[in-house]
Amino acid sequence: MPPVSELLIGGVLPGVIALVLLGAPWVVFRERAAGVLRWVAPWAVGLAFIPASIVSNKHANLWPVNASERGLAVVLASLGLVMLMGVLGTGRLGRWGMRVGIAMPVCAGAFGACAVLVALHPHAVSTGLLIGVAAGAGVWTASASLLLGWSERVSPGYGTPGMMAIALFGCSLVMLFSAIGVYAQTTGGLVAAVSSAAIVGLWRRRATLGVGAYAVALSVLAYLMIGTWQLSARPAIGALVLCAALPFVVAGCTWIGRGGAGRRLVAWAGVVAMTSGAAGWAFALYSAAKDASPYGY
Amino acid sequence: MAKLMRTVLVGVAIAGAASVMAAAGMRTTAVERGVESAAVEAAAVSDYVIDAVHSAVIFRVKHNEAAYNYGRFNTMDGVVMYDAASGVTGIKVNVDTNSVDTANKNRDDHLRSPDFFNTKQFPRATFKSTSVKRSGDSSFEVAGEFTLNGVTKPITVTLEHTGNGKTRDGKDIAGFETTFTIVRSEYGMNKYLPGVGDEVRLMIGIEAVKQ
Repeated sequence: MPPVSELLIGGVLPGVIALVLLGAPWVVFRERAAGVLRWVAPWAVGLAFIPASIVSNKHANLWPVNASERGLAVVLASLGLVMLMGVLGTGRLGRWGMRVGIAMPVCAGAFGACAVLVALHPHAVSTGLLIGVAAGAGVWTASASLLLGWSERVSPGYGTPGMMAIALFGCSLVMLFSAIGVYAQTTGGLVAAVSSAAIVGLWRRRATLGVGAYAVALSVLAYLMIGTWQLSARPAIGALVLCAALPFVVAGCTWIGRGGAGRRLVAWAGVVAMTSGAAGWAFALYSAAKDASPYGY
Repeated sequence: MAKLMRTVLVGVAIAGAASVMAAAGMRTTAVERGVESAAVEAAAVSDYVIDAVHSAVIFRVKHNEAAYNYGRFNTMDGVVMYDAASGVTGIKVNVDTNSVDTANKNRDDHLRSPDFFNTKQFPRATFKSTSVKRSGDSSFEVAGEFTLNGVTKPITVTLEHTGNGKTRDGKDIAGFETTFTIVRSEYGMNKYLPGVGDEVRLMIGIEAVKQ
């Protein structure tokens, strides 16, 4: 269990930052807030992640010698790409603008993968694996964030970010049971940021987090999950695959849950079940290596 | 025949050590291995290669600010430049961090993760001497560079020469021991403080075989 100070800086502070940045536009711009948030939301998630990363790694170096501590670089690069592609996408580029919009999360995800893998190469990762995983992470980030953005348009409000908060919490547990405590703690920053988006969604039913914000969050998650897969001595591969599937499940459940209370209940139950399955799988692997002491190791 | 076998074995040992160093990006010759001391005189001192089976790297660290927990690394290699007249003139030790063993699988897996040794990225901890001076009849002040988790820092340790002997097949062996303390957060290993203590005491016993 991290000290209270680390929980406050890594968990509560990111939540407050995101809550202020996501909530303020609804006070200041009122009806025009949705348009403003398209630009603000990626920063809300990215800036909220920063204190979580700093307190987890205990430094603010952008490119430390330890490749597993480069979350800050990943989130800043993702924010830069979101902004760049967002600006290009808003120009009079017609269909091309839409394509640029898709390229943005692809690049964000690929960068997240490369950041951890490049430094590992050639110690742990071959060039072929590096290219393959980076491309795969890019496609995963792009498709998941686009689908989450679509599901929000179908059903705006607290649903999608609320379900994503549960899913991200499950991913955090998988990393914890895969024996990487620092990644579990870092994911807590994303949980806090997305939870704040859900709170804003409860308050303003038209609120959406947006594709850019999801791309930033998922690029960090891709980096953390690939790091867990590559660096853990006990990676829960099956559970990590379930984690990778969770954003798609959330998007699908948001679609299922639109409409009546009964369908909403089924949708939330589905996300909780899938998340529990991933965390439970990792816990089962952890438990298989029994501790000799009832007080843990 | 025996001479041929010995030549082959020495050749294999040198080639193996050289390939390991090359993999770590340290392209040095066999003569240069781990020995930066100006006092090294090739004609006077000999290479003693560390016998990992009869050597040990043990560490202790405080748990929950209460008791000391002990662990060890099961795999190491290296070389000591030594002869009876000059004493120790240089030393290099490589420790395989993946071989950490604290008699608990969950804990060992966690120690291999990025929270601690990050063994996939940093598979070796190394000590390489830069200068050696005699400080007693059988003790030496060894200054060198200690690398852990990709961070290199200068440290000085007291190395005790514990004795000389022979192997079953008549080769000369020499024994050494040192104990020193590092602050793990200075090497970027800063997770789980203070539950897992910051100061780590290392106790290293070496038996090395003359080549």
